[in-house]
Amino acid sequence: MKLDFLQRLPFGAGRATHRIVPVGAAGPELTAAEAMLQRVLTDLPEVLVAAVVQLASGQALATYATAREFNLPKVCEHNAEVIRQTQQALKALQLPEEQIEDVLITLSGQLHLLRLLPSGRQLLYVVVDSHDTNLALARAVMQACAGG
Amino acid sequence: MAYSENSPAGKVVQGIIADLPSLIAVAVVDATSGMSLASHSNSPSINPDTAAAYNTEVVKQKQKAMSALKLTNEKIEDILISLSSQSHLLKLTDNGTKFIYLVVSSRDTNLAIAREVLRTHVAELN
Repeated sequence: MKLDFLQRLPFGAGRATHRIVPVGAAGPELTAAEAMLQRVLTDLPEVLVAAVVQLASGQALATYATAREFNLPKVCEHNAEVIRQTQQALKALQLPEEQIEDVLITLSGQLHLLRLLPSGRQLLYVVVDSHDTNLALARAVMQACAGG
Repeated sequence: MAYSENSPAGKVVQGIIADLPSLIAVAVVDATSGMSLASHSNSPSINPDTAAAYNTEVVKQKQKAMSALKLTNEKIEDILISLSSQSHLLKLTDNGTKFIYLVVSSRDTNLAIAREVLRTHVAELN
């Protein structure tokens, strides 16, 4: 039975929200990325955005968002660039022994957290509302989920 | 870097050094040009003016990421970069035109205290 009208309803069309969306090609990296986002969701159910992003390309492997307006591909690209710029800064400062563990950005009402994964090639990006959690807690969750 | 102790930026650098004597480096930076208004380093290997220029780009990238999320009501308050043994903090002024850049050793400095020190002093820059 064709149910075309379901496609025209708002929740049927457009980018999915409130679920983990695989973006990258299938394989062990994608499975690991989805599993990581699931762990984040379990520990921080009120999370607004979460993504596992490839550092070199800025492309997401898997994403989670609670609103459709978020331009997730652009966001992931910019956040990867934030990490790359930081790494360049460290190189210019000649601090070879220092590795980036995480970057915590406090906004007026949100917390954006970026954590480099142990492989050094991917990062975990999480956005939470500051009313739902605190910085130390969110950071601890990131550390636990990233497996670092 | 030699700075005027009478300028607001110079006073802020001195105030932070007084509150966090074990800091590694500190700078007050113009967020548009990336140039330091005043800076001080206790370590021969860290040039705070170089760091200031690069960190300005970090701030700009984050602001671009926020536009992509359509976060028009949100402002960056601070950015905290945790490294293996150092912490780098960037504290923006209310109007976002300047920021304080602070480098501390994570082993001997309490991050909450460092953040609080920056919060106190950034008000003098507005």
